[in-house]
This record gives sequence, structure tokens and C-alpha cells, in this order.
Amino acid sequence: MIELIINNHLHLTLVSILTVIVLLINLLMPLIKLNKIKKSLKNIETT
Amino acid sequence: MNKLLDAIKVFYHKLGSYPWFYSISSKLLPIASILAFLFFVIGIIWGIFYSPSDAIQGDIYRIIYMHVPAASVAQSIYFALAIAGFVYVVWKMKMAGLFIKAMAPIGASFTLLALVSGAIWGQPTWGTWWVWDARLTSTLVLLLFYLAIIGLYSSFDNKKSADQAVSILAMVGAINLPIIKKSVDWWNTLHQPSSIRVFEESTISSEMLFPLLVCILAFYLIVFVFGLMAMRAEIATREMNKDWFKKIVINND
Amino acid sequence: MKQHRKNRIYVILFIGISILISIFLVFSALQENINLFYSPTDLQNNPPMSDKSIRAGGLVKENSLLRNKDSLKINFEITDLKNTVSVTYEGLLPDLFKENKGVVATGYFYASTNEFVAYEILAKHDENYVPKEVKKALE
Repeated sequence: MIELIINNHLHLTLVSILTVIVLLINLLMPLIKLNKIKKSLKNIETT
Repeated sequence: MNKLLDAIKVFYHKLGSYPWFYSISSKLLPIASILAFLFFVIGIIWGIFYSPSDAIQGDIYRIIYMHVPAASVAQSIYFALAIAGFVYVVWKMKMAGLFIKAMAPIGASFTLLALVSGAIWGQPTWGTWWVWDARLTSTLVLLLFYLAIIGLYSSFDNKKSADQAVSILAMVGAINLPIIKKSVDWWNTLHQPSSIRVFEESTISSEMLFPLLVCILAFYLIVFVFGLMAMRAEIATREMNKDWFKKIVINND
Repeated sequence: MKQHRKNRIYVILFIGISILISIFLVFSALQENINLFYSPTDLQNNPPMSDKSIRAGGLVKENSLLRNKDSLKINFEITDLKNTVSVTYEGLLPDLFKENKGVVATGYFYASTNEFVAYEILAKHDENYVPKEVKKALE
């Protein structure tokens, strides 16, 4: 496992990082969008 | 038989309802997320660290465990968009329009991942990161269709006309799907033909095939989870002024 | 004109242009037969002009690869198992370039001598994935 990382597998590492970035963006975008709306609704309700 | 048809009808009408979808998806999400995460971790670790290295390509072939699943979901999402487009145009089901709006960015991001991971793979193995062969070009066209859908949607203020326009565009773009799929068989391409066969023996050895299948399943589960999340966020933007939505937000957490 | 109408026109223009570009790409590919490369049989039956850069593809014929000792020059033959064409090339080779494996060469074809002078070599790998140990056991 360590050997794979040290053995300068630049291309494989690059693709792994890209995959994680794509997954994170898709995960965070709707979460942020939904929370913003929820927050603004709650603010209206409390004021 | 009639009962089954009735059940389908009831389900269809429920599916068209935002409150029903919002509540059922909140129940589905936790279990689906756990499954998606488990399959992804197992598939990726199995593929990258525990599957054998390829006799010709060595370890770089392991990019397959991200490249093929990404390309697969990229095409399947578009297929789903085209069906949703058809449903919207024929039945004016508003959920279908919302589905296209929510899924298009997800599809675009996985198409981009398939293209870029392919380029990174091709650079050392083929000797070039890009070539205008039929498979690569048609996949680029898929990305352009996704971007066109996103752009077209955002150009409308009226959600109804936006849904109508992107539905038609989604259907038109479906022509590209069989071209992507069969390009490697119909023409001489630099890209190799598919290794996973349904009706005959796959040309990838089973020790590599099994982790690949786990990764593909994981990507589909992930897209299912992301799709639910994106649709919920989109429902929230469309319904934020409706009483049912306010009630849920105030009562929950 | 209202701002949102202007925006809509820009987007429709953008979409129109991207569809035009897509169609243009498809048709320019069609013109070259959509095929990325000529097989040796295509070259023999329908030799293209020697002043036009083309791609030739097939398998690197077994025992045809000759490396020059003092330079990066190489000679080999591309075969589609029916016809062959001999290729000369000078430069770096991709990792997967091997005898009996797929190759796509870009360069100029001289029909009179059945010779292909390449300035770019791409390796075309096949759809087979086999672990090292299994491959050794098979040999």
C-alpha cells in the first residue's frame, strides 16, 4: 500500500484527487443551498 | 393486472408531489448514503491496493476504477435526463423538469471526470492526452450538451418555460448516447473497445473485474444520493414560500 | 431591452454556437471517415496523397522492430494481418509501444515505396487486462 504511494504513481494520485474533488463538490453544493434557505426561513420566523 | 396499473398510477402521482418526495427522500437518504459510502470505500481500496497489477500497463491501469464508473454514470444520467425530458414534454410533470435541473450539473461533473481521468491515463500509455477519435469527441459533445442544458435553464426567469426548453434539449442530445456507446465498434478509434461484456466472457480478468463492478455500483449509489440531495435543494428553492415547506423547516431541527 | 432578455439572447447564442461547433466537429470527422486511422489495407487500396498528414494504425508486426544504436531512430512494420506497411520514426515512444501490440502512427505515406514516415507514435492498447502472474503462468 505504502509502496504504491511512494512509487511516484503521479497519474493515479492525480485521478484520485480529482475524483474526491468532484464528489465533494457534488456533496457540498446542495447542502449549502438547502441550509441557506432553511436558515433564511428560520430567521423570518423568529423576527 | 388492473391493480398493478392502479398502483403505478398512484406512485406516479405521488412522485409528482414535492411534499411527498421531500419526506420520502429524507427517510431514504441516511441508508442510501451509508451504502454508497461503504461500496465506494470497499471498491476503491480493493481496486487500488489489493487487485493485481496489469501485465502490460502495470499499476497505471488502476485509473480504470474511477474512469469507467465515471463514464458509465455520465452516460446513464443523460439517459435519465432524456426520459425525464420526454415525461415533461408529454405529461407536464413538474418533477421531471426539476429532475433535469438538479441532475445536469452532477452529470456534467462526472463527464468532466471521465474526460480528465482518461486524458491523465492516455498521456503516458497512448503517448497523447487527447486525440479526436470518435469515442473521445462524442464524450466531449456529451459534456457540451450538459453545459448547454445548465446554461439554457439559467437563462429563463420563468421555471415553466425553462423546464420546457431543457426538456427538449435533453431529448435532442440523446442521439449522442448510442454514438458514444458504439463508437469503438463502428470506427477505428484510439480508445479500446469495452472490456466488460454482458453476454460473453469479459476481457478483463475476474480479479480485476470484481472490484471494478463494486466501484461502478458505488458510483451509481453515490449519484442516487447526490441526486436526492440536489432535488431536495431544488424543491426548497421552488417551494420556500409554501406553507408545507415552512412547516417542515420550523418543526424539524 | 431588459437585462434578463439580453442575458437570454446571449445564452441562446452560446448554445447555438456550441451546437454548430458540435455539428462542425462531427462533420469534419465524417469527412475523414470518422475513422481515426487508415489500416494497411486501406492504404494499399486507396493511397492518400503523400503531402497530406494522415494516421496509419494496426499491430506492430512481430520481429519487425529495428532500433538504431546511435539515435532514437526506429523501423517497424504495421500489419492488419492482411497487408503491411513499413514505418520509420525518430523520437520518444509511449510506454505501451511493443511488438504485437496496437499502434497509431501520424505522418506521410509514400505509396510508390509503401513507406510511412511518422512524426508521432501513439500506442493503442487492447481491451484485455490480465494480472502479471497469470500472464507469466500462461507463457
